Amino acid sequence: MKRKKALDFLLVTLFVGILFTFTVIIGLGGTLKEGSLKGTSFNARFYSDNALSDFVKYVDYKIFGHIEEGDLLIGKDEWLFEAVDSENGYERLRDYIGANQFSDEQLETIMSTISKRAESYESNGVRYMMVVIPDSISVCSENVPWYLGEQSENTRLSQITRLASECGIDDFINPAQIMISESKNVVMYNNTENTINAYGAYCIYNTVVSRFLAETGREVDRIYRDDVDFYTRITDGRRIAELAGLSETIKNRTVSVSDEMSEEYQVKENEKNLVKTVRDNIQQSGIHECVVIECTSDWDRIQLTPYFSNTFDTVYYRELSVHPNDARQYEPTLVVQIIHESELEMLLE
Amino acid sequence: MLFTAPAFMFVFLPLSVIFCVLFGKNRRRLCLTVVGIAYYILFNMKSPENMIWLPLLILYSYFSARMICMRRNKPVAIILGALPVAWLITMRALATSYLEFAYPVGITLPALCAAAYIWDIAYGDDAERNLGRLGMYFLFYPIMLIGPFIGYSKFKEIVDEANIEMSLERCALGIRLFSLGFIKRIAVGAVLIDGYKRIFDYSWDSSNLSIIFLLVVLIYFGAYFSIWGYYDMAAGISQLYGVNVEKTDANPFKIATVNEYCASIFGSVSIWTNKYIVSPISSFVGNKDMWFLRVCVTCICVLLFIKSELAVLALSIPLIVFSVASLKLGLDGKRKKRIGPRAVFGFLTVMLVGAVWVFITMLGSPQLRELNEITFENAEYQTDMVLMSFSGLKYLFVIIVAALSLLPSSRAVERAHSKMNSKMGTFFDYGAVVALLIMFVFTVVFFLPQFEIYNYKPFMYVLL
Repeated sequence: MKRKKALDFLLVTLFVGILFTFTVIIGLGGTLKEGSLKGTSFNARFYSDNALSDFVKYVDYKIFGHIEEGDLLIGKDEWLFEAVDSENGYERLRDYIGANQFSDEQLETIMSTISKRAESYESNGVRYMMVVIPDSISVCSENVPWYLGEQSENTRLSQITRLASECGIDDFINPAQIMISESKNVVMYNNTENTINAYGAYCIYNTVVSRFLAETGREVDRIYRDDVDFYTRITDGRRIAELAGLSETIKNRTVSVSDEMSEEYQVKENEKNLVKTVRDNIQQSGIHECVVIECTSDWDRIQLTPYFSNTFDTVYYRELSVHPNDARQYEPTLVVQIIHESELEMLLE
Repeated sequence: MLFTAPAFMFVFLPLSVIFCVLFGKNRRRLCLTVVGIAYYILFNMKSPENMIWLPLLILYSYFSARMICMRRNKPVAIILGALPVAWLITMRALATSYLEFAYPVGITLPALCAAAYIWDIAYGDDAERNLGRLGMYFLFYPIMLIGPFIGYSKFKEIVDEANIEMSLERCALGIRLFSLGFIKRIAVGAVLIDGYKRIFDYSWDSSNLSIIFLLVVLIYFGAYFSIWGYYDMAAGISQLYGVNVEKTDANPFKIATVNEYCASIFGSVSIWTNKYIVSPISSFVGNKDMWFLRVCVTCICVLLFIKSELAVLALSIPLIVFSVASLKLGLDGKRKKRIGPRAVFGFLTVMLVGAVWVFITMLGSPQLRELNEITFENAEYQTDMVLMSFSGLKYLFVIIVAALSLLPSSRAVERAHSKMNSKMGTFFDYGAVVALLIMFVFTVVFFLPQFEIYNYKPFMYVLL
């Protein structure tokens, strides 16, 4: 009987303590923050308490391996992927499993778009390349959640790559295979955002330049892998982690180019949609190499600039729109249009 | 301000209990009435126009009962008792038809209690002379939201000054029940219903059988734990006020038939329909055991209690068929020892009741109209989305919590506890208290902030 009383006393005391603690923390804490006794209700304070909401997200991810917000896929080793791209609505997961294919008509339209663009440039002696940066989920397959299995062979990018190869269109470049083999050495994407890092950008650059040099036989001061040092630092989680409210919990492994890499170029123009760089030591003799790089994202431009600007005499970086303006006004030798796997629908317009 | 609202748990409940302790000696009933009025006002703060209904119901019940006592005219008494029910049906129909109509949440049980009170008077009970005491019955909020249903004569007995006891033992029991009910309601019920909603949104248009099975299981257990949790919370709050409302003896894994399901989780409706619909008809017809009528009325009333739409009547047909089958096979009640057939029937009951719940959730939504467009092809994407929602350990944790929440009502645990030696027993008891409180705190800080909706809505899909 005594034991039961002691137990009941303990239970009541602890329970009252718990209730009192919450009453003080939520009630008084909210009042102190607002500086007045008036204001939001107790319920509103409880549900809008940032510390509580951060705790929920932290525990949900760290203990339960689960994220409540959005359609986010939690990969291995702190990798995050979006099932549906929150920026453009692209259904990444559906494409990953091959359930979001382009129809034959759409594929024809895309091929025709690429061919027309290539013809328009190449008839004037300008080399044209359309580069598609694969999504991180396509390259970093070892970090994809277990239940997704292997990527389908019928993704939109695979469809276009296959058809381009069958039609003999060599202006279309899908660097996925090269990136997959290279990614075994150094990671190429940010783990908390579907964007390439400095090494991923190098890989794109290397693919483009290799193709350009092989086809034209020209000589440029190409940057080799050994010329560049990369270093990894841990920063706050990027866009997807921010979407999940976990930017402080899930850190981003940011790969950057070492400061030792010299910048042998000057930025001559820096406007909203156009950046022009010129190399410091332009050879007076020989061919003046001018390249136009058209990207859909500013991030890609920033990552690609050190490589292309250190390689080619003049480089114009332009924003790539659905109906890109003709770049022949810059008298380039090469025009590279860079889009993402999630933006392939742009080619249907 | 429902039982799971932070303002209720951390402000209203402790303050009202302290108020009853400080000012309530020999005036417990008065204090409980004051607390009931305060709760009713706070509860209806969002739609103050609804504050009028309960006082009207109290006055109506009081004067109707007085009139019946004076005239003793049964047909008139039956009509007077039926009027609150008719009013309730009208309100529910309005709530279903007009979205702008703010349905007075928590009015269902008071309306049924008013009818029950009036009919009890018609059948010989004494009418309450004290309006305040009758008012206390309707204002005793712990049981007036969802139940358990307690007739006025029984209620009068349990709230007698001599029976209201604010002791340490009762307080501890109240805390146990309240905490456990809160955990069942939020950490299990709400999470499972949330999982159901997600999966439904992802995959309904192109499902496969395993997804449909998952949906059925989630809604079945989600609804069960939500309602069961509320019952426990109601009993716990009553105990905290010193009123001995017994806890509901429910367990989803002991249910094998639809009849047991209705009695277990919609006991209030079952008792009410049996006493006030089936029994009077039986005695009027002269047939003592109208089991078929009982089954039909219970199934229909339970469904109408959940959602008052004509479409639910169609859903009652499979429930009635299953109920009749279980009765014919002797799986209900006394012959519970037939473990094998009961297990098989139990599984079928989960599937059937779960499927009925799925249809209830779709009533009034476009998905019901698109039912014939469901394809069973290429559900790989839907399966991946489901796995995405269920990845991690959250749902495993919820299953463990659900299993642990069954332990206090488990007879096997009780038997094992009685066989323990003193030291072991003490260790077990203290361990159980600590585990309960830890889980309570975890539910408050982790699960509760995710379900703000239950601040003002008692249940998803159920109109109360």
